[in-house]
Amino acid sequence: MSEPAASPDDIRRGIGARRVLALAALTLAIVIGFLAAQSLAGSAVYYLTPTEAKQRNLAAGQTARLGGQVEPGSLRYEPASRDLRFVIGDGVSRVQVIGTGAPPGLLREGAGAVVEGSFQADGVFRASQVIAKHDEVYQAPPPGATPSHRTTSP
Amino acid sequence: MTTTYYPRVVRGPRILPYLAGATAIVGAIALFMALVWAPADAVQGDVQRIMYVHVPAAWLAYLAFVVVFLASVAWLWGRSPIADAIAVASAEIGVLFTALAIVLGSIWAKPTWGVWWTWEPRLITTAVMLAMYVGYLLLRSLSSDFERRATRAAVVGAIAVLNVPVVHLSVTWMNALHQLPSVLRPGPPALDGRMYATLLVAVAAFTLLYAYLLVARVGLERARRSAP
Amino acid sequence: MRLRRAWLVAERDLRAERAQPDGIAAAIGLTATLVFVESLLVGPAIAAASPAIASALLWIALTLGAILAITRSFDRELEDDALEGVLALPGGADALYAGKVLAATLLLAVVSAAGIALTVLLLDIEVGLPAHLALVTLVGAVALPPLITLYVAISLRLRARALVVPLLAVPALVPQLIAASAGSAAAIQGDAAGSLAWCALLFATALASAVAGLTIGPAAIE
Repeated sequence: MSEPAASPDDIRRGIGARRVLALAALTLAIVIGFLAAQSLAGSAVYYLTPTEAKQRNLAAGQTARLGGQVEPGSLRYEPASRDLRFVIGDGVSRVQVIGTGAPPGLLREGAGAVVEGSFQADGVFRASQVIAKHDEVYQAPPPGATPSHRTTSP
Repeated sequence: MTTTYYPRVVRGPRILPYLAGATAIVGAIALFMALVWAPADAVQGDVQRIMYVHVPAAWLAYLAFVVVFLASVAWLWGRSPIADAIAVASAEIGVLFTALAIVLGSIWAKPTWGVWWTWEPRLITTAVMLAMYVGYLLLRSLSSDFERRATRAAVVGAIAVLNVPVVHLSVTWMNALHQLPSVLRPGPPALDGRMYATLLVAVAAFTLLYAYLLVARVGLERARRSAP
Repeated sequence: MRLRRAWLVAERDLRAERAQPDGIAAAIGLTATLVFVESLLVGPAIAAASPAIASALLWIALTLGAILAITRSFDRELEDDALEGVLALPGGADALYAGKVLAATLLLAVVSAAGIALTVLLLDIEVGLPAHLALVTLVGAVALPPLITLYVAISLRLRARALVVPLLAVPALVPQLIAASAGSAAAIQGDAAGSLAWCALLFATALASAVAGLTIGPAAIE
């Protein structure tokens, strides 16, 4: 491999050209990645919304994770039988959820929840795990009110 | 023939006691504000106060890893030994703070979310970030030659910083359990005023702690290198 | 001209491989063994129910096979004492890194073909879209080598290399592996749009890691 040594100008030109190429490749990568991620917005998700779950027509017994809001008026927990029921919705669709065991302390009506489990044949979602989700807003309680959260689980 | 060894007292950089004092003072103020002065959250109650350690730990981990990146680039550029010392010091502190953030987050998650851990975007990306920097430290510990170790580590340190924006933005890119950022986001902070003030003081305390640990560790590294 | 030098390095590698195919033999051997044992542990029934499992196992096996092949390729340089010579030439480190990545990509394409064939056979998988699966695999063969070559290059003379390289490379390859695994699973299930989208994401990660590798890699070869 015998070649005349590159002159300093050649080297500088080479490095400059390489930088442009690297930048172009990176930009291309970012653009492609962004577009691909957009079209992939449904797959590889942590949870599906009830609407997405219905669209996918999940088979009974197939493990899935749903995320949404707990519908006001739907949350019931029976300590004696450890039967937990509530409806999870996203403003468009709603799914009835049945679980066993005490709900997490933060689970409340109107707030977020994520449930893991599978659909039963009758369209009810049987949850093996119920997780409460809270949003990023932190506020002081109104004067005189005590915070509503129970940190000790029954 | 017996040889007597005199213990070597390594006096650290002179600024160290002042940094320690500052950290202690600001830390005490932050502790008071976090436990007493700031209001409890309207929804979560007092358990929310763990935010005042969990969030600063995470933010300072980000900062530490960015410093690792800058120090790594500085080494690759100019081969200056102090850059390598700063890189290893900052990486160790970053790993410590990341682990702390994960543990504190887990403790916060159990009473609020209901689980210790789940495979959601923020937790996954943070765990991957921790793995990469533990790999960084392992690579360093297994290298013996000074120059080679510094170069190897600098390569890893320069690449692994990409974790930082990925960890932070992961919750905005996809459906996640971890809530969206309350402060580091476009728009005003979604925090009560007193909570925000407390958080800022806590971040200041953690920053002083980072500075203290960094200076101490860099001093230790230089002492080790100059030791016969 | 730089490309030509890189190609020369790659060509030398491939020729050496053809003369003494211990690198590709080791990679195919390891990948095949892993796929075999994984298939044994999982079984066709579970793999059919969840193509994601078969894909994940395949790509983990391919990653480890790639690490082996690239390590072997650099070892050949060390054994022939050719490393200093190549590095001394102007632009030598760049050519060496790029050439190794090029050769590794071609080798990995072959190893992947073997890996997929074995996986489909042992787990009795019906591939919905074979062409899409081939595309994902090809792009994956491009996406893995840059970072692996980078980490092998920086640990050339490290005694604990066999531990350090997988430890560093596998977390760094998480985006590539997620995209490749999900893309393969989508192709198996017959989801054309999904597999192409994952393929595009995989290509983006390939570009990004190639740029990162080419920027830093040459500086780090010892």
